[in-house]
Amino acid sequence: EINLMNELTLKGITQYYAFVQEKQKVHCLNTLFSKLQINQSIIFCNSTQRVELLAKKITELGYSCYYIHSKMRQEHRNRVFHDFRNGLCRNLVCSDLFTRGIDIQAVNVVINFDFPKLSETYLHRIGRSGRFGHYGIAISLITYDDRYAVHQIERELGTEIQPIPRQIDPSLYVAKQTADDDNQYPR
Amino acid sequence: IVEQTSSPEKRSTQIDVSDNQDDKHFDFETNLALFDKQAIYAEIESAIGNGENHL
Repeated sequence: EINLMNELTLKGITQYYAFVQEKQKVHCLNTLFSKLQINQSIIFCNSTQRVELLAKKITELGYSCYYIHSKMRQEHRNRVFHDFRNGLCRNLVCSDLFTRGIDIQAVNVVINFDFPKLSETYLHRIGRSGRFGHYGIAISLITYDDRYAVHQIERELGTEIQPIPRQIDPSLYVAKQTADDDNQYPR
Repeated sequence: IVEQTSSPEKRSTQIDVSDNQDDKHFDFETNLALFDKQAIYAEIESAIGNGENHL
């Protein structure tokens, strides 16, 4: 279920940040959901409690959503992840469970609702194994308090997280698909 | 530059929301303008040069 390759790459992943205040994050996320062409998304929080709270907010906003975090029993986690992988839900909120990166091709959008503190965590959340030549976008919601972590992660990974543009080019993250494909996931 | 209003402790245990969370028109541009990345990075690099560690 997880990528067993040690090599993770940011190649093919377009990285953006949106600057927000803490209390604006849910509003920002709601706008992203309405603007983006999400096939499947994974949304990361920095604590298990925030995972559950955010999943509740997302459900209240009318979007389908599963959540998993490290305090759930392994069998429960496996079932949720299996169902998500099989396309039963469009969005998954989670903490840092994917220690070797996400290996789900259908996930074309990753959102850091909370920005990680470590470059290794950022890479595990956003990075992909090189073998699929995966394309996708990663959007980090950053607050003023995150400025040191953003600086350090960019420096350590030798990458640049760009400000989110007014329009995001779908060719950066949306695979060509049929109309039938587009309807396979719940909203 | 907008200062953070919630403490790290509060941030870790709850999710604050603004009144307009249901609105789907978050103003990205106006918010981005509040974060001068270049200036902030210059400040951080200067602090690092002075031996400060913020992480």
